Parts: sequence; structure tokens; C-alpha cells
Amino acid sequence: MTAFRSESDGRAAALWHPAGAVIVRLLLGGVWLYAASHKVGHAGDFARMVYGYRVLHPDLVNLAAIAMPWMELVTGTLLVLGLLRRSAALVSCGLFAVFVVAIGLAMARGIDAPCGCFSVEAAGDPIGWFTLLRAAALGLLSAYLIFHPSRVAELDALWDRPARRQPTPTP
Amino acid sequence: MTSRSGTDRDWSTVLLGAAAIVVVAVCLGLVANQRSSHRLPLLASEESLRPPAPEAAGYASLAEARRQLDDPDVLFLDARPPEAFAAGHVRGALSLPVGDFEERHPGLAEPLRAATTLIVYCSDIACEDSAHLSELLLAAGYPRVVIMFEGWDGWRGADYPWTAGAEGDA
Repeated sequence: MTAFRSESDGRAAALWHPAGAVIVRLLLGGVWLYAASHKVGHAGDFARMVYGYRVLHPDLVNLAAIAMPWMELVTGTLLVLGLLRRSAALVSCGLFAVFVVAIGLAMARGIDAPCGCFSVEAAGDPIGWFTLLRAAALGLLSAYLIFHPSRVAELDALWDRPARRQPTPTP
Repeated sequence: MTSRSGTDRDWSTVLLGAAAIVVVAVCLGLVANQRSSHRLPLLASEESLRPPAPEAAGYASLAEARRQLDDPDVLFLDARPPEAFAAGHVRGALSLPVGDFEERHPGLAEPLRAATTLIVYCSDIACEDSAHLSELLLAAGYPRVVIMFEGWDGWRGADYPWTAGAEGDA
């Protein structure tokens, strides 16, 4: 029983190791910055990609194409810096959830269009199981980052320090 | 030990931060779009979503193209690769992949000349093969070329008549 508990404690310790948060944060931040770098400034091309999913009403396609690349850019920057990390991870998780739903709906309808994930070129990755599972996996990593308690190598730690300082006991 | 109210406060901060990120990103996007030389209208119209095409080419929506499907003077041309055509295409369409135009075009001259309107399409609204094919057809002297810009995906999604196989292939 004790051995079992110590094994599961060890696994939990490995899962919540501070290095895990740093690696996942930099990975997700890099993914978002890479994705945004292909879309910012190409809103027209990206709008056609979004329209290709046939999930949004055509009237709303441009708004999504204007806002989404900047959400990716801001989220990626904050994750790399470790600033508002849990909030940025929440936005990241939400964006990936939206992608999973959009890709899943497009697949269910038999739409064979480029996914527009990392490119606005028609030759980019097509909508399919690979893009669906990739978005789901990155969404899970984002969720992990929301709950990870570590503040190692994050700008957020600068804010925390005064708040976490223990009050001096009065005699 | 974090108290219950402390945890609630933490989550409120996280949610507030997430909302702030979304608001800031949307504002940045709107400002960048406003300053861009390729500014998009905030509310899209179908026209603004069409792929760029030669001026002389016309556009047809799915419904307009469907209405002309049974017109004997109208010919549908599929600009996608032969494998995509074989997997499924608009009923009665001929395969004319844009990359094989020079090679395949002479063999299709007769049906092309017999039609008064050529409706070209590729895979979806993001593809540009139909625009390239329309350019080649106009340069080859066919006067009325129309792009069905929503492509095969739109046609299939609307459940309009289609067939599979390479029988229409040139």
C-alpha cells in the first residue's frame, strides 16, 4: 500500500514537475507564434480558409479572420514570456477547442479543404484526422498549463513574490 | 493551504485575464486591418471571399451553376487532379486539370467549342486552379468562362448531382 502510494506520488510529482510547465509553455507559445506569422497580414487569404470550413455565417468570416491571427500572436507572446500564463493557456485551450469542433464538423460533412492551421496556402495541411488529433493534443497541453502550479522562468513570478511573502508574525 | 475564496479569486483573475487577452487581440486585429492596404470589410460578402480571377471570367454561385447543369450548351470543367476527379465530380463534367492544360486541351476541343458557357471549378473556395484554368481558357479564345467559386466541396455539401469514376476524363 505504501509502495503503491509512493509510486503514484512519484508519478504526480513527475507530471507537475516545474520543467513540464516551462517545456509546454514554450512549445505552445512557439506553435502559436509560428501559426500567427503565416496569417497576420494575410487576412483576405485566411478569410477564404475560414469560409472553406462552412461553420460560420459568411457575414462573420472576415471578423474571425481579422481577430484570430492576433489572438494567436498575443497568446503565443504571453506564453513565451510567461506573462498571464494561466489566462493565456485558457485562451489557447479555447482556441484549440474551437478548432477541434470546426475540423470535426468539416470532416463530418466530407469537406476536403486546407485546414489553414499554419498556412494560408491551398497546399497546406488538409482537414483530416491528423489535424484534428494535433489540435486535440495541443488543447490538452493547454489545459495542463492552466492547472500547473509552477511559476519557474515566468514573468508572472515577479507579480507573485510580494503576494506570497509570509506575513511577519507579531510577538 | 489555499482557502476556498482564495481559489475562487484565482479563477476570477484567470478568467478576467483571458477576457482581456481576447479584447486586446480583437482590438489589435481591427486596428491592423484598418491600417492595412488590403483592408477587409468587417462584414464579409460572398463577393469579397471569391478567389482572384481574370476580369473577363464570370462567377456563378452553387445555385446558379446547378440551374445550368442540364443545359446542353453549358459544360462543366473540373480543374482538379485526375485522382480527385475520379473520386467524385459534378455530373457530366469533364476533367481538365490545370497542370495538364496544354496536353489535354486539344483532345477536348470539340466539346469545348460546342458549349456556349464553360463552368470551371476546383476543390473549394480557397483553391485557385479554377481561376488559373479560366485564364487559360480565355486566352485560348473561349469567350464565356464562369467560375463556380465554391468548388467541389460546396457542390458535394449541397448534395447536388454528382458521379464518381474517370469516364468523363479526356
